[in-house]
Amino acid sequence: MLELSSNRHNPGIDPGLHAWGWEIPVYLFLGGMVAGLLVLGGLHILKGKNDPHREAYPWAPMLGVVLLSAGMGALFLDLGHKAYVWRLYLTFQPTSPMSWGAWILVFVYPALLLAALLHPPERVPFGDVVLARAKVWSRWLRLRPKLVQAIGAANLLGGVSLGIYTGILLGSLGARPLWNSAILGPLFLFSGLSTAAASLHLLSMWSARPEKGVFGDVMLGGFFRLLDPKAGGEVMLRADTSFLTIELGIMALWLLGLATATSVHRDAAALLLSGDYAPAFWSLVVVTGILTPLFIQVAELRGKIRHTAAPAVLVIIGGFALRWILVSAGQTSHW
Amino acid sequence: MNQPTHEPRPYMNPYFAGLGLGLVLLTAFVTMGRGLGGSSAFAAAAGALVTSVAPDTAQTNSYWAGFLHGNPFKEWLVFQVLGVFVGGLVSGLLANRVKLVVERGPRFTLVKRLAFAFVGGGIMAFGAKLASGCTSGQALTGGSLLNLGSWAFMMAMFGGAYGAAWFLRKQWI
Repeated sequence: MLELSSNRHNPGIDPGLHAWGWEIPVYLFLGGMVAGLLVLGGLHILKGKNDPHREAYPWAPMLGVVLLSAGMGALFLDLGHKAYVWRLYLTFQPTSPMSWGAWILVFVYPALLLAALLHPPERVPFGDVVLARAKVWSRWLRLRPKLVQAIGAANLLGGVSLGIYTGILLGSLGARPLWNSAILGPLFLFSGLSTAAASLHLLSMWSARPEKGVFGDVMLGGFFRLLDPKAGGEVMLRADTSFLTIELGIMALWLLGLATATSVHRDAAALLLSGDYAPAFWSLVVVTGILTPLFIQVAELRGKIRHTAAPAVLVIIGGFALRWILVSAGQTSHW
Repeated sequence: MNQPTHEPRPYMNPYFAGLGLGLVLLTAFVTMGRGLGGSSAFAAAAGALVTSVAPDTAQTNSYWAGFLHGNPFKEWLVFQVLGVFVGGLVSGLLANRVKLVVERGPRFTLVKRLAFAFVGGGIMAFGAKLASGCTSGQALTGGSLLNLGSWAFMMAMFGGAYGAAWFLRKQWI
């Protein structure tokens, strides 16, 4: 059967089944974090807490713009025909999650920038002229409460849409049983919320680090000190604890759903529960990314131990590992 | 109302800690069928890096070629070392001891301390490969199995450390 085997080895005839490399999990992680930042920022605006010095909220939209641009850069690198990317914006296909995603990504940029304009920082490392102009626009915006509410709603809606669509995108690929679940949308949303809360927690902690002369402060604190919001971080800590608990519950439901479905879906769940991806899934996602930070954060909130950046860093590692493992294992699962 | 002070707590009694470590080793044997180790996890990670960045070079080198078909995420010691990191972090957090700091003597500069650590790490890695195991793999795992070679390693390691400590003491005091 020489012809058959030579045909099957022709990548044009039988394309590689493991089609997604590092770009997709990186995009899913950064996109999820931005979705969380949008939701948290949107809720902050809607609740009317307009004090620009409160925690790290003023920096959330700007951090979102930077992360979203990096994520879209990764997505662009994954495209087979990069020169045709503009064609995505010549049409809207309501039945295609990818089309929804392309338009959502465009929608959230102005929402993030308007949210950033609402609370410009007191000072920036560079660009005083731009900051002065931004403050003029900020005053104009804040005199219009309905517009402020609309910006908050746009951030909230954009965040929920961005967080959920990536899960729906994976779920709609019927050839991959591991992803065949609508619950992946909420799972990605809450994972994104937890990594966003963790990143804001980190930002607020480092910017307010009081000790001087410690190695970590010199290496890391210097940059974040430039941002200078008055910090607390406890709100983010409480939010993150709730998000992690919900994420854990959704993850259990997703795996339970797969494990009680057809044998193909059971095999897919076994990849994570006891198969090739089980060591990485259990250790990096469940233990390192969810259970350990939950345990530490609860002890911190009860005042048993002092606040540190450790749980936030672990949550971010776990969030990234979840996307990486899910994309890799999903491409291995088959009918 | 008494507020918690969050002062660092004292370290555990070393004899109890040693007993605990022995039980961890026993648990590893029972649950994983493997002992404890450290250096192999870094070797597996370095192997994965070299084989992914320069597969052609790895193919021509008998040491790196051994890692070509391996996956560090299927290596027990990689996960064990990850567990050591997370467990140590939790232990440090619970005892309020976690901070980013380079441990060094008051008269030893930061750059010199980091340079010594780097060179020392290199010598340690070379020694671990030469002896087919490091402090954990040889002394702890091999020693618990009463391997003669592992006990010889342990005695040589303590002898070497005592012999070199005098020359390197200014790093710490």
